[in-house]
Amino acid sequence: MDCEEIREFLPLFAGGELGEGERVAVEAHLGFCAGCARELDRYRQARALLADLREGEPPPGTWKALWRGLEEGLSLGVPAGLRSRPSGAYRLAAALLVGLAVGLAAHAARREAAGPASLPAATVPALQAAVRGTVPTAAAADSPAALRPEAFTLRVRGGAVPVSPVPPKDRFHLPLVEAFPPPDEREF
Amino acid sequence: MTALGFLLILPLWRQGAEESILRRMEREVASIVEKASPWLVQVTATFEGPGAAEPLRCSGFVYSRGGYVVTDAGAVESAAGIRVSAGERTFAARPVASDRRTGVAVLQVAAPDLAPAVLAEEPCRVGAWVVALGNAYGMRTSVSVGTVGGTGRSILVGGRKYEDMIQMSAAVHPGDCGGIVADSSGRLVGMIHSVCPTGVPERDGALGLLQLFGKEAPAPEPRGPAPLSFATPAAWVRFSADRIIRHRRMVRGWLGVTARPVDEAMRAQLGLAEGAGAEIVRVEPDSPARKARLLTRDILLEFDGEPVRNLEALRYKVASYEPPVKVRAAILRHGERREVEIQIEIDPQR
Repeated sequence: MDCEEIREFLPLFAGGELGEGERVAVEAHLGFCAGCARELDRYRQARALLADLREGEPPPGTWKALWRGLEEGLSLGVPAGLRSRPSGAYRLAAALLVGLAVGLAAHAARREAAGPASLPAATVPALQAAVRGTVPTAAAADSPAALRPEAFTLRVRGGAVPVSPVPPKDRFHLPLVEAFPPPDEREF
Repeated sequence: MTALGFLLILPLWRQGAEESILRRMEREVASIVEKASPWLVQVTATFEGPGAAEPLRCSGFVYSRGGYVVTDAGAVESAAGIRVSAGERTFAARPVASDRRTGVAVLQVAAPDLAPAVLAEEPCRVGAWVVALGNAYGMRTSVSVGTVGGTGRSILVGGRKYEDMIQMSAAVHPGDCGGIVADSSGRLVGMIHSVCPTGVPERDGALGLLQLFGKEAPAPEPRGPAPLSFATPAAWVRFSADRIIRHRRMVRGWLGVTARPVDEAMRAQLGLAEGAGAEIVRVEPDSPARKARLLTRDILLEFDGEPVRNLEALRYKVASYEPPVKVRAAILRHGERREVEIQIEIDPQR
C-alpha cells in the first residue's frame, strides 16, 4: 500500500480498531515512512486531547462504526473517482467528530450530575476555533450542501460549546478540476 | 578637452542609470494592476430556503457599459440574491443568463458609469506572462503573476467538461474565481475559472488543536508540484457575454457530437490528406446530429461548404450559428462519401 492508502487507515489505527491484516500492513509501512508516522502522531495527540475532554472510554467498535457512517455520509454527491479517497482534512475531521460524538454520548450518561456550565469564558471561542479548524471548510465551499457537516454542540466537562463547522460568510468560490478529458476531443 | 571628458564619462553614466530587469518587470506589473484593477469587482451570492448555504463570494469584472458584469456561472446560478462591490460601492445585481459551456455568467447592476475591461483581440501565447487579479479569500484585488503553460486545454469541473481553456502558473485561490487574467499589455486575456488541486498541501486539521493546547504546530509539508490554474479565454468570454446580452439568454448553435482528429492509421487507410476530417466519437441523444442520422465513426469531411481541418474552429463555427439554421455536411462512412443536411439547434446547455 502507498502512503495515500495507509493514511486512510490511520484514524482507525490510532483508535486500535483495524483488522489484523490491515494493522500489520500499516505497522510495516510506519517502520520506514516518517511522513505517515508523523501524521499518526497527530491523530494520537488529537485523540489524547479528546480523551481528556470526555468521560470514560468508548465501547469497543464505536470508533469504527462512527467512522464508517461518517465516511459514507461524506461520500454523498462526491464524484465516483474521488469517493474512495477522502482528503486528510476529511479524515481528521471524521476522527475528531467521532471523538466528539463519543464525548457527547458519555456526557449524556452523566448529564444528571454535571450541574451548570462552568467553562472559563476564554475556552469557548478557543474550542470552537479548534474544532472548526478540523472541518474542511475550503473543500466544503465547493461541495453540495449535503456534504457540509451540520452545526453541533460540543459537550465537555463543565459545559457545552455550540460549534458551527463552517463559519458564516466564510465561503469563497473556486471550483476544482476533477479530471483531464481526452485533450483532442471537442464537443459541439 | 571638455567634450572628450564627456564622451568618456557618458558610458559610465548610462550604465548607472540603466534599470535592472527586475525593476522594469516590477514597474510593468504594477502598471498592469493599476490599469486592470478598476475592472475588478467582488460578487457575493446569497441563498435562501431550508438548509440554505452561507453566502458565497467570488470575483468578476465589468464587461461593458450599461452595468454588465461577468463572473463565474457556478457561483451565482442558484443564488437568491447577488451583490456586486466595485470600489467602495455595492450594488444589487440582476442575473441576466449564463453559459454552462464556458462558465460565463452575465449580471447587470444599475451603474452604467463603471469602466469596462479591455479584452484582448488575439489569443494569448504559450509562455506569455500573465497577471491574475481576484479577491482571494475576500481580500480585494489580490494579484499573482505567472505564465501561460498551455492553451486549448480540456478540463472536467463539477462533472462538466470545459474546452479550450488556458492553463497558467499564476496562483489562484478561493474567491479569485471570475477574476481577471491580464496580459503584458494590461488587456484581459481570460477569466479565472478553476484550479487543479494536485500537489496542494493538505490542510492539517490537527493544527488547530495543537495550537489550542500550546503545542508547537509543524509547518504543512508541500506534497507534489504546484497547482495548475485555468482560465476561460477572452474569445469565449466575449462570445458568451455578447450572446447573453443580445438575447437575454444563452443562444449558441449545437450539433450534438463529440469529435476528434482522424489518426494517422485511419487517414492512411481512407486516403485522407494530413489534418483533413474529424472522426465522430459520440452522438448525443435527441440532438441535431442524431436526427440527421450521423453515427459514431463517421468522418466529417466538410461542414457548411468548408473542409473540416481544425476542430476548435469548427466548434466555434457551430456555436456561432443562431438557430434555427440548416447546414449541409459531407461525411465518409465505410469509405463512401455522403451528403447530409443538419438542422442546427440551440444548445440545451445540458
